[in-house]
Amino acid sequence: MGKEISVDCICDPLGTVDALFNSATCSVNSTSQLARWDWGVKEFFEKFLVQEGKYAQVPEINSTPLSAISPNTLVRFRGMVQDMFENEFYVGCYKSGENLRTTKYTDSITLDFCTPGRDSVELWERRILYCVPVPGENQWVKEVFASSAGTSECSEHRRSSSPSSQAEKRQRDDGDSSVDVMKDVETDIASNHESSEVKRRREEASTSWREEKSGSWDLNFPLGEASFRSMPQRPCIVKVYDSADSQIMLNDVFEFIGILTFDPELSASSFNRSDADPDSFMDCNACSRLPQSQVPRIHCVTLQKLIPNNMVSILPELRQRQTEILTTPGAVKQLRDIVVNGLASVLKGDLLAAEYLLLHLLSQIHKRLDTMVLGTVSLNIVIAASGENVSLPGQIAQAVGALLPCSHVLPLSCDSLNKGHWAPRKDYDQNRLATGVLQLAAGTHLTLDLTAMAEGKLDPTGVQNLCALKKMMQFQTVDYDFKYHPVEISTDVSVLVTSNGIRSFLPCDISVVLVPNGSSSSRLEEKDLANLRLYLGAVRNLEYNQGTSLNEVLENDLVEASRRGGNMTVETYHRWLTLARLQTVSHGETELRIEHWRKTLEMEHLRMERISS
Amino acid sequence: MPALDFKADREKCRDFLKSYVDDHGEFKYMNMLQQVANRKLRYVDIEIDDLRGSKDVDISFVESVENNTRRYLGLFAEAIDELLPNPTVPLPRDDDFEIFLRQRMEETEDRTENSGDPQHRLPPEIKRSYEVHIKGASKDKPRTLRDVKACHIGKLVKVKGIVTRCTDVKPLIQVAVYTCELCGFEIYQEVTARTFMPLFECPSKRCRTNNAKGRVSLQVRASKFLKFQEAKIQELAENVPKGHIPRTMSVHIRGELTRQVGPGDLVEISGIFLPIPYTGFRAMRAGLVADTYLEAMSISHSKKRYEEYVMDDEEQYQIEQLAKDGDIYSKLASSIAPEIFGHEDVKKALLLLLVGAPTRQLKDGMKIRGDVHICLMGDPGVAKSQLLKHIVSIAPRGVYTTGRGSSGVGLTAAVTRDSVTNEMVLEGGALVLADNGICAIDEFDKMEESDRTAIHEVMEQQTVSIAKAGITTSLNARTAVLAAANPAWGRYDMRRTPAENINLPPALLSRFDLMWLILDHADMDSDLALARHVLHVHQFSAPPALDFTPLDSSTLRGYVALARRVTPYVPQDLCEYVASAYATLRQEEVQSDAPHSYTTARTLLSIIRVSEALARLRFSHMVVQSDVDEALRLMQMSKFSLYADDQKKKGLDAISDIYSIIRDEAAKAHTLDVTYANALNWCSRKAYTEAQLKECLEEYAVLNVWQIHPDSFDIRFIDS
Repeated sequence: MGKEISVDCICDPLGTVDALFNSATCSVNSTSQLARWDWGVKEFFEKFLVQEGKYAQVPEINSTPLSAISPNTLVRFRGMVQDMFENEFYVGCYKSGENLRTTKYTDSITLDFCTPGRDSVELWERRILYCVPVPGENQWVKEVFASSAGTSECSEHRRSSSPSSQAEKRQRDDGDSSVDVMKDVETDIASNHESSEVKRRREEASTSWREEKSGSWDLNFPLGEASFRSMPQRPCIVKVYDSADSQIMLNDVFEFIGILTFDPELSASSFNRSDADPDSFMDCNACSRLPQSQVPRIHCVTLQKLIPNNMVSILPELRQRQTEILTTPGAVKQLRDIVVNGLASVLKGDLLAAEYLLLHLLSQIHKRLDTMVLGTVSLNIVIAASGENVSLPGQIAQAVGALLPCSHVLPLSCDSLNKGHWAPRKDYDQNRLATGVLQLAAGTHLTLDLTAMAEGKLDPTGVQNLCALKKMMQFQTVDYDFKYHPVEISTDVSVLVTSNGIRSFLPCDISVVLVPNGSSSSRLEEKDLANLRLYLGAVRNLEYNQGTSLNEVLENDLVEASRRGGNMTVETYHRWLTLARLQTVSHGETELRIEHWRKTLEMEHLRMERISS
Repeated sequence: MPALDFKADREKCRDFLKSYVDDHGEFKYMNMLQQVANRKLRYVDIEIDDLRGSKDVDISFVESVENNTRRYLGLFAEAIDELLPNPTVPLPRDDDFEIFLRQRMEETEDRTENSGDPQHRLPPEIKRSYEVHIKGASKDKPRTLRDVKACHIGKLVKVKGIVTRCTDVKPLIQVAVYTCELCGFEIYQEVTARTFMPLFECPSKRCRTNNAKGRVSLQVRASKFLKFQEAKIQELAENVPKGHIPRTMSVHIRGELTRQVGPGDLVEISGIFLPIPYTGFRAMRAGLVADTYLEAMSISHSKKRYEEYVMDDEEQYQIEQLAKDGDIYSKLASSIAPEIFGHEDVKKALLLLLVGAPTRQLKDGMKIRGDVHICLMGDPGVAKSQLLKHIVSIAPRGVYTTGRGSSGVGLTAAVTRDSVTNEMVLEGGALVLADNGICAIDEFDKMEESDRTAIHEVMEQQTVSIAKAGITTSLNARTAVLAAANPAWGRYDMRRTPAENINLPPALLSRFDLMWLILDHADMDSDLALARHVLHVHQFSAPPALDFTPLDSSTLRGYVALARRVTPYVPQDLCEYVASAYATLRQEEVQSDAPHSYTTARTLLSIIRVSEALARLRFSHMVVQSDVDEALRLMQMSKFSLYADDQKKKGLDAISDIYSIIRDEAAKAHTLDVTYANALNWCSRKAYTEAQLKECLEEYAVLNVWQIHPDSFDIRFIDS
């Protein structure tokens, strides 16, 4: 039997699930035992994907239009957990005639379900996650992933040979006619032989789809729909089975591999009753209300957590290249020079600012202690206010976007601050978490452009937004507003500020005054970018170890500095050590060496000189 | 499912109700039933505790009641129907419904004899004038919403949560009554779900045999309705694991339990966790999933305070053991924010803020507050905010806010218009929310002027008065205020007077019991220590191991809770001592040209408050002199960093200062003999250490100013 299933893991994953379930039912005595494990489904699929190398053949629905993928096939989806809906209780298995059947990994049901025999019905539980495309994900990441994914051969296959596939189905379902009715409906849609009934339904679906476009469904993209530019993106509802609570957290980024289900009828029926009873909130279950055409459902079979600032490393081929870069002598040095020079050319030839920008791009939290956050360095690039510099913030942000997987530019102005809530809030009417721009995955880069800021008045919303922003920069936490109490969610967002003044109202760790230096050196070339991205991703996640050999030197330097400079605080100590750490890893090394420490101090010295002059 | 013998179980229910005797030897449930019969009581609460406690009930029966509660509710109701005694008091005049009912009962009795049609039989629900609830065991700990899983379906569960929404109370039909236009029969339809399919054709035998298809009409007045309310509860913030969203649950509240909750209430609900299958078309398509709800059986409000902090015996024992430890005061203090380096005395002060002193109510109605208010003022970057946050996390009711950031409702209270009902509602701000707790206000100096005036009232009278939009009221705000502020020019400016630097109005300043100035002085030793600390943090991603094990915050909380139960008093003989200390403070202030503080009658109260808090920490009912000395020391310490500077200006070193203290005190007492203990007290009040005192004693003994007793170190001045 096993041999038969493995052929069609991608196009007919439910068949695989059924087969595994059937063999599991033979080995257990009672139905309740079936609830405790997944009958080896996860293992089977993982083996299929990794060992048999079929991973690349699974279509990726981030970049593919839904119409190109037929329902009930295996897909990949890359997304951030934006909201967690209530767990869903579903009929895990039931008896149909003599056989036990399961509805795990699917939404569709066979019609004979309504017949009695309910004594063997088991209610099981699954987690419902609302996932949105990774906010701020840059175009190049999408392209990398899109090129790695297989074209959806299933749909092609379906379309060309629907009669034969139907025959297959019939065989499998063994005369279960009700299933066939449904399956037929799907197949018919795919093959455009539409019955009038289906046609009507489809029209309904498409009209409502158009309505939604005009904004009746808030799809909760943290950065708004505009952020996707050319490529439209869609959220997904992912149903996860057998996972521990701690495995999946809010704002985590995952690649889910699961079964895409689409049931037009279910979707149509949910529209019809959407306004029927506005008063009762039994029906405010967002999960069942969101239209399937907009928000496809995926029943997750296996998932993998992504490190957002090094997302591409899950692709085996690119991971291989990263290790090559780190192990080849001289490669890191060369790439580091390219990137510093490239950044300097953006920053009007200012090498010091470019060095700081590089270190900033590498920064991420490495430890939280109580309320203290170690590792982040927020950078304020001070640009002299003049006509020729107007486009500079945009250029910097563009360079950052070309290098980092996730980044976003947020121009700050009184208007933008007063508009909408930046911190996510719980919307109790909808029973959803209404998102805000500050709901970002760990590892996202945020550029705040203060150069456009003008005088104006902040209303209470604006003040709240500003406070949330400040809190995020200082403590790397965002308080999500649950009306009755806030829920503190940790973030790891590196913030780059471009402003016209050294003292901004945002708490920045480091301010660098930009000093243009005419000699425009080599620009960031398109051909280098691929390697630079890999370099940044690789060195950022290096294991760093400060060692104790340099302790005496460090101690003396710190104390000496505070005797001289007066203005030394704990923060300064932490900042210097963090910069030294970043300096070290930027060279692809893992242990602090005296020259990196000296260089850090020298950079700080130069920076302070610029500020005081 | 094996066919359970429900008949036997009903007998068990009956026996239990009939024979259960409570602790007072009364038939608890039979008494209850009598009251029901007399129409005095509208519900019967069956407690699992009683079932467990009863000798006649075996444990398997209790278990099945807990696991299949809905069924047993019915069984108990049937048992009660059988047991219901006759009323012992004349019933009030029957209302319409009763008359209907009696008539119908007479009618149906005739009818059921000749026609066995079940739909004609009067359903028992319609006759009942009571509700049955099964109350969960009181000892069971409430679950978090997260813990209620699929395996709990059908079972009795107890959960705790915050009510986020609730609907109006609406009638829910329980038994629908129809009459047939043709045959005149009454037809009853029991409704158990939220929706039901009304009947259209008369199902009676007569109509059916005649094939008449008699039309039926619903009799609203004869049907039985139930009060029904739906609510949503949400998981409490402390139960939500990091990085997760609070879960919610719908609760159905029926009958007498309605109108007990409102949004924002903290409630503990025990009830039956049940699924609602979809009905109608959706059942066919989406029958795979079921929504769930909690059918409420009992609701209780909970408000956590220190006083209600429940501890098990083991915890209590542990804490009492701790209290015997002599050095508990500093041990507790250093366990506050152990990650924050240094600041021992500030932490001691914060500990006293947590403990507080008892609030006293005088006979004439005047209240003297017991909450200790503290203001931390200092240079940026001295970890003020971290201390504030940590304190808030320890206190059971702690609210952290910033003077600037609190918008809209602000710190005190505001009248707003409710968006749903369009009514004016009073919304409490941070200070009101922190009633019976601690309100930490960061950036106190940047606060709005209007809020600052309101804070005057809060800090002394402990209420917030509001007169806006036709609402005049006064809300309780019995909170300890912990404020953090920056000096007037961002950093403390040594060239200006302290008053200029602090820049808070004296009226506000005098309300703080302790005003702490934390200045960022550069000195070699502390810099080195700090550098080592920071280095360690970066090397090992962890702060250096402390030279003591800090008590965890739950122990700390428990200790504080226990300490707060003590109400210490100041003995008569100590009053004199306090009074003279106060007088000295006043004198000093008059003499100094730039006073650092405003010593007023409030200061006297502060001394007593802080001393009482110290006595509480020892679980002692009496304040002793060492408490007062420590209180004075803390008050002194709080300005120490300033004084240290002054003294440099005056050219006085610690040793000569100690000498002058001892000399002055001796002169005041007109004596030449000073005991060592006294000298130590005087010095510690001025924030000098014992080592410094010893040094002073030796130095001046060499100069032949005084003689030191070799064993007791008592001092005798040499009369010159």
